[in-house]
Amino acid sequence: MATLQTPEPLFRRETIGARVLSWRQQSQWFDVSYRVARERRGQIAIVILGVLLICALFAPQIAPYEFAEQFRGAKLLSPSWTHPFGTDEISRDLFSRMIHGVRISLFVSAGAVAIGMPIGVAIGYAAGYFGRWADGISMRFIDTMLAFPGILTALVVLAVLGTGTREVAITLGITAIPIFARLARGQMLQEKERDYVMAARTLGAGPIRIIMRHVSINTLPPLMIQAALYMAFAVIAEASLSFLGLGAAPPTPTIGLILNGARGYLTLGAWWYIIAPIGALALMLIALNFLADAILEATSPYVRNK
Amino acid sequence: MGSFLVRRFTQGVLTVVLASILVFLVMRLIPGDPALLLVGTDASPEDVERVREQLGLNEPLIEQYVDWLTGALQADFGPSISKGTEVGALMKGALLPSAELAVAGYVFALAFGIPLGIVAGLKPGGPGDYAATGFTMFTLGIPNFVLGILLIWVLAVLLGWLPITGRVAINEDFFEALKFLVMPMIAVGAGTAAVLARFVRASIMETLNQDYVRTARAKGLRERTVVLRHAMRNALIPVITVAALQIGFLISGAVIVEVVFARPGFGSLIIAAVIGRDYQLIQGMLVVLVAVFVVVNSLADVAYGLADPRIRVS
Repeated sequence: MATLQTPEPLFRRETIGARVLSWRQQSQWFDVSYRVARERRGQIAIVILGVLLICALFAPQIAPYEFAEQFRGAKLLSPSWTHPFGTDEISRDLFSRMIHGVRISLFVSAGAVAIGMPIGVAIGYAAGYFGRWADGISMRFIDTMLAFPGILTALVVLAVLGTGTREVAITLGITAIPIFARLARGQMLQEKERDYVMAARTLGAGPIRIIMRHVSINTLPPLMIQAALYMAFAVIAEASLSFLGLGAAPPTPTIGLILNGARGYLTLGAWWYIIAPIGALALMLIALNFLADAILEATSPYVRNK
Repeated sequence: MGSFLVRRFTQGVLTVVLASILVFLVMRLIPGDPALLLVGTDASPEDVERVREQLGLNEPLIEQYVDWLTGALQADFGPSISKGTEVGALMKGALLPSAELAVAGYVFALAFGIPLGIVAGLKPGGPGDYAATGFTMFTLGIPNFVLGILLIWVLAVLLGWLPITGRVAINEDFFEALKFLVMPMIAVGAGTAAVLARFVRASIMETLNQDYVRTARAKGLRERTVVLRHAMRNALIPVITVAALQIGFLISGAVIVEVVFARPGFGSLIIAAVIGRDYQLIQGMLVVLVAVFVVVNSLADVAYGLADPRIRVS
């Protein structure tokens, strides 16, 4: 008797109990990460950020010298085996300083997102979900904060908090709040009209459960993109603020301070001194922007295969 | 159009007022007694009290705000604590140098970004498109003040074509002033140019796919006419909004570029104010800057309404 070949079903409808979820299906985090890792830009971003992250986490172990250590008679040396990136005007090893600089840069920008994103998203979700006066008041406030473009908000907050690395991280966290709130509110307004929200509500789910379990999963990609882009902004802002003398105090090796130091020795031909911080900044910024691009490509069906 | 203008105007005024309240309140959070900063620590308590009275610091917050606002509307922003002069006078002195740079940077961004975007959009995958992509990548990796340092290094130090830093007033010696303006202008405008190039490219590519462009081609018009008369005019309308929104970011970016090139202006003034915790100065400058942004954005909306009649109706 000829066996009847059943066609491969488009969607496998296995019983949930017997179904083994692949690791990608277990969480949207895994799925998005997997897709990002398949994009070329995502791969570039992961490699660069991975290397820089290792440098940042293990800076004291990786850096060959202390960042403030001075070497006798090693003033403004060009790159060599003992000092791979050369030395600066007071005989400190630039390679060690750059590694610590990247560490501060990434810590500050990640810290800023870690502070600003949850607060901003919570405000935005609440405003979007509840509407009415909650929406009116918080959005007026947020629009007002967004009336100060770019780094100006940071300058105002910094005037109150004072200077320093931690202050810069907190400041950039505060300036992140309106940006994430705006985005989360828009997402919430779009999502809360969807059928699945209605279904969840019909089943008796309260606002907290609907927001945390249902809507947040579906609004994740744009928020992740914004997080990557805001990190890039925070890297620039941290470098700018410490360049201006509003960030860490001088012995600390931030990228902005190294840039500021290098600027004075251009006429002496110290090319290695300026190349190192510019290179590190460019690597971080390109990687973060690529990461944002890759998340967009990986999560949006419309942009895919452009 | 009338009601549209009125609505936009009230919205703008409201934003400026709210922003001024926000700045005013935040500035009160600065630790330390402004009166003490003004007279110095070795002054007698009576002197401090007298200055407090003079500055109006003993009055309720609302009264202080109203006093400050009525003063600000008459261009009187109170005394600067760190500089010892009137805030209004300081801002007036900084206005021309900053305006010079902002206008030059903006003109550069428009003159460089829009043509680049057009070339890229008309021939995706062509050399113009590659140039635009490369330029965008470059500006993503090199922020404006770093670009300034890079320009100084290459154009001034290595090649010696331009003076390193400083400023000559544009109304004194036009050509000499331009020499000092070239590098800061590029540093300030490059990011905006890249954003515009990308937007124009997308807009042109989208417009070229529209039905009316096909119709224009189908009726046998020359390609030049199709592109210039039919596609370009429509593609560039949305650019107005993007271009206007960029002005705010351009001015905030100019703050740091001014410091890199040691140009006097709002940038160096506001940095000094933040370091000196000069609340009167910060307050005055921020409110003026926000007012400038709001006016620019409102003008952009009006221009957009004029260029595209559909906006006015909705």
